[in-house]
Amino acid sequence: MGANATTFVPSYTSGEVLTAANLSVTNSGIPVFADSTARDNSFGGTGEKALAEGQFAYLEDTNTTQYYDGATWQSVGVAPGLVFITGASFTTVSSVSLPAATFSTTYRNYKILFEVTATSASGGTSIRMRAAGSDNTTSNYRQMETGITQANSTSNNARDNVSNWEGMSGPIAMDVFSPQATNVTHVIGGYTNSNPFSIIGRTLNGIFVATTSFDSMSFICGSGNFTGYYRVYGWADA
Amino acid sequence: MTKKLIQDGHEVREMTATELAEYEQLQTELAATEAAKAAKAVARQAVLDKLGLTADEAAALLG
Repeated sequence: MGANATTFVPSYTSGEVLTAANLSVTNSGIPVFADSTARDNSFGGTGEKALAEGQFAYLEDTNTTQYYDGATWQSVGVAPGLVFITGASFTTVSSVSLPAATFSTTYRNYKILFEVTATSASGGTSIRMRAAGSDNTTSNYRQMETGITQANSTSNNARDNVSNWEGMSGPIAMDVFSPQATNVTHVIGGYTNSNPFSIIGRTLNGIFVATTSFDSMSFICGSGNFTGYYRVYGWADA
Repeated sequence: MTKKLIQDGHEVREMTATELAEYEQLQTELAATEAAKAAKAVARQAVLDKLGLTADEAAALLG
């Protein structure tokens, strides 16, 4: 229990002589408790305030600030669902690998934003899953995409039993499902090929069909080198 | 042998021999994929020419 933690929230009677301890608790602002049990035991007893709507509390064990809404305790400043993990810019390289252990047991699913802002030659970006510093080059990748050009022509793309997910360009946004789990890995997202001669919008549905655990992913330039940036986020479970 | 750069995490370095071999193999696969797509497009256009249809007319016909 921390130095500011309390085990009661006092209530005073008319004419009562207050001690320094009484005043310390009263002047402490939001009362601090070791946990929810200490919080609940600090209201309504002899010499304690009755719990009522608007009461605040801080819990040391979960590092959360709460308020009482008249029926239950609610948390303030709930943790975001999408948590930044890593990101970087890259310049005139032929391949980019996310840092080792980008995918971990901390999160099951991930959001990745990857944008190529310049390339030295035409050619899309290919993606391979990665583990322990090596790309997985087995023929376990499957890829299904529906697309359309700016001229309203269909531009689908499908590949089966290949060694990568290929052909993406421009900004790519995708969710990666269970890469770290020993499980089939799925990616679902989309991208916009912003080549001025061939503007195409496509969905991205990719499967790595083997049950392999990955800790990273590589983006490989289809030809020459590329420049851009990426960001990786984890989807919180709660 | 042409050296290629990889950004591995936050470090930029030359590809290892293994990485370079994988990269070059991938380029070969991608070139084959593109060639197959181009051949398919040529074959499709040849059929359209025989039928006297444009690509948009064929799309409208096939839904």
